Amino acid sequence: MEEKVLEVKNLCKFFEVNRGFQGAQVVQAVNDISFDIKKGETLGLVGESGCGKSSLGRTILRIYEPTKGQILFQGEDIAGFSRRQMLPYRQKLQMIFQDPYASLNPRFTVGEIIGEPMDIHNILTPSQREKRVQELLETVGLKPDHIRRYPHEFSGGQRQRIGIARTLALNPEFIVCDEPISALDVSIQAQVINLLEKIQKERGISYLFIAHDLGMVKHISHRIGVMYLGHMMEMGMANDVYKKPLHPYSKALLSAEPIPDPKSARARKRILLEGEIPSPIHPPKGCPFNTRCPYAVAECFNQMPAAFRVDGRQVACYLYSPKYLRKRESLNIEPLLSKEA
Amino acid sequence: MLRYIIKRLLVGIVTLWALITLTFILVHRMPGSPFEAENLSGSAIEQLEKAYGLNEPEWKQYLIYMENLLHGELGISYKKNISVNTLIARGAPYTIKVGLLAFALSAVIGITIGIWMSVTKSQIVKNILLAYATLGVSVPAFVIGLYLMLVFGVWLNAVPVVGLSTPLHYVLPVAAQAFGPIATIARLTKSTYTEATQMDYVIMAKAKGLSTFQIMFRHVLKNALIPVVTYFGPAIAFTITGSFVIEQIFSIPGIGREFTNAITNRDYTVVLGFSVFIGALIIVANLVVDILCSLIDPRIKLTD
Repeated sequence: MEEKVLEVKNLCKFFEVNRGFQGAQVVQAVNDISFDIKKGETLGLVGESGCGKSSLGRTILRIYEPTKGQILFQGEDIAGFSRRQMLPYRQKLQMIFQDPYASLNPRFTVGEIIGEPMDIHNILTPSQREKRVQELLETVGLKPDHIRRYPHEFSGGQRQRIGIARTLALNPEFIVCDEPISALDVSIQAQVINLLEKIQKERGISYLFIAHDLGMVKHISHRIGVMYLGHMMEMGMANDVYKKPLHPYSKALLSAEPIPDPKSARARKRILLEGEIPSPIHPPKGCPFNTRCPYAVAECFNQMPAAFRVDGRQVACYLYSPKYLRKRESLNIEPLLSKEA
Repeated sequence: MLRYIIKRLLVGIVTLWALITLTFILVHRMPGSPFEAENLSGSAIEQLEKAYGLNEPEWKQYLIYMENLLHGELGISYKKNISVNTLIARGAPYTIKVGLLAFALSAVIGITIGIWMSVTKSQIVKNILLAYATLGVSVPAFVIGLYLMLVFGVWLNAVPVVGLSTPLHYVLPVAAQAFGPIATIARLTKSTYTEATQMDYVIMAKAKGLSTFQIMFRHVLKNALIPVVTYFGPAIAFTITGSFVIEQIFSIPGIGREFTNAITNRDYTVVLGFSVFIGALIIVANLVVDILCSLIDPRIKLTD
């Protein structure tokens, strides 16, 4: 787990939106994000809808053109590559989608859907390809004779498996899983997650796992990143972040996770955030969370804090800056984390 | 598939029969006789009516008409004294030529404009195209026809305005007829194309390394065009029925002009014969489009 497969440095993705009379405006979907993913590792990405999780995933895959920053894949910066230069990397970087109904072209047979990536990249001869498609179908738990059927003949879970088989056709080394289970029934979710974990074990693939379901992310991820309005607020080992979220936003987000035990659910204190998420077109100055943060101090309104290293993780919050930590120690104030723990 | 086609054809025949019967009744309910306007004496009219079988009771006339129809005979025009079959054979080529040209033009330009509207980022282009699309849907063809005549025929004197003697003569009537359908097809294509580009499989296609052009043809266009092709059936019908007024304006000797003249002249057999012909054309066009759709979209299955 030492070898870095992917390293993202100061990645930014701004979208221009046209809003009629107001003219062109900029949405800062991904703002100065840096992280890395090791071989065979799963990085979970959580955050509210519209916080830039999917944009981040798609920018890494160069589906969106990055505005700024570096995307180092096995040491090579692919951020500025042309379509032709990207072609070999398209094999190694792949994605799985949320909606198994929108992600398969309804006019292609299953064989064509899974075979097309190999066709584009000239892998195998056409007859070998058909055999490979059948193998892939078996890998994801479908029957080889499903090859001539059309997507609409399958259930949601089966369609998601077809999508996974298509992604695996190119032997990728890094897959962005964009909410791959949100559209599925709970019983099917477990099957798909187990499949993804099995494939990861066998092939050493790295995942960027984007999800809403906090419990599922904890289960599958080695590390977790928490995003808010295009910024990475906190990143650390999955268990650490879940047991002891440091960033005020992480605390609020994780306190919203449903607990299947009513007793402990009642005993838990939920942190309810005041106000709405600010518009990504007009984010507040400084830390984007300052409008809703109960602990906001003067600095928070001036500048976005850098990521501070605390307990082996990164937290972008002034409360964990060396200055504040020292202050708290000298005043003998209990650290923030144990207050709500 | 074959069973489906046979079934559709049978349904078509029933539809056609209903159309004939209803038209027959309506035409015969029109006040006056076909020969009234011609300043003939009472005995002459009687003689004419006898010659054409109009003195028989209506149900008998109907039976005779149906029997002739089964032999492929559409009857004889009261006014021109030639068979309706000949009239159709004479006029249909013009109508079909203009109609198909207008239809082809509206399909090609409509789809192109629709895709353009969907992909362009320029707000100005978008607004201009949208204005055209709205105008095209709401302004009737004969108004467009008259304006085209005035501007290009009279003011600019660039193209001839009457008849169909040279290829240049086709420009204005075809343009006038295509104006509306282009707008409808453009609007339809725009919405289906935009919808198709937002599908995840399009993003996937990019992630697989396809170029924008390949994505457009392999993944977007085929899916976006199914609803558009479905519209082609009615569109063909519109271009043919739309030709009635256009043919009057541009003095084209097609079946549209013949049809409108026949109505004012109470030429029963011509009105009936043309209704049968156009009805059959529309039924066949819709059937062909349905079969086409099942061929391009595997989700559409032609079963009963």
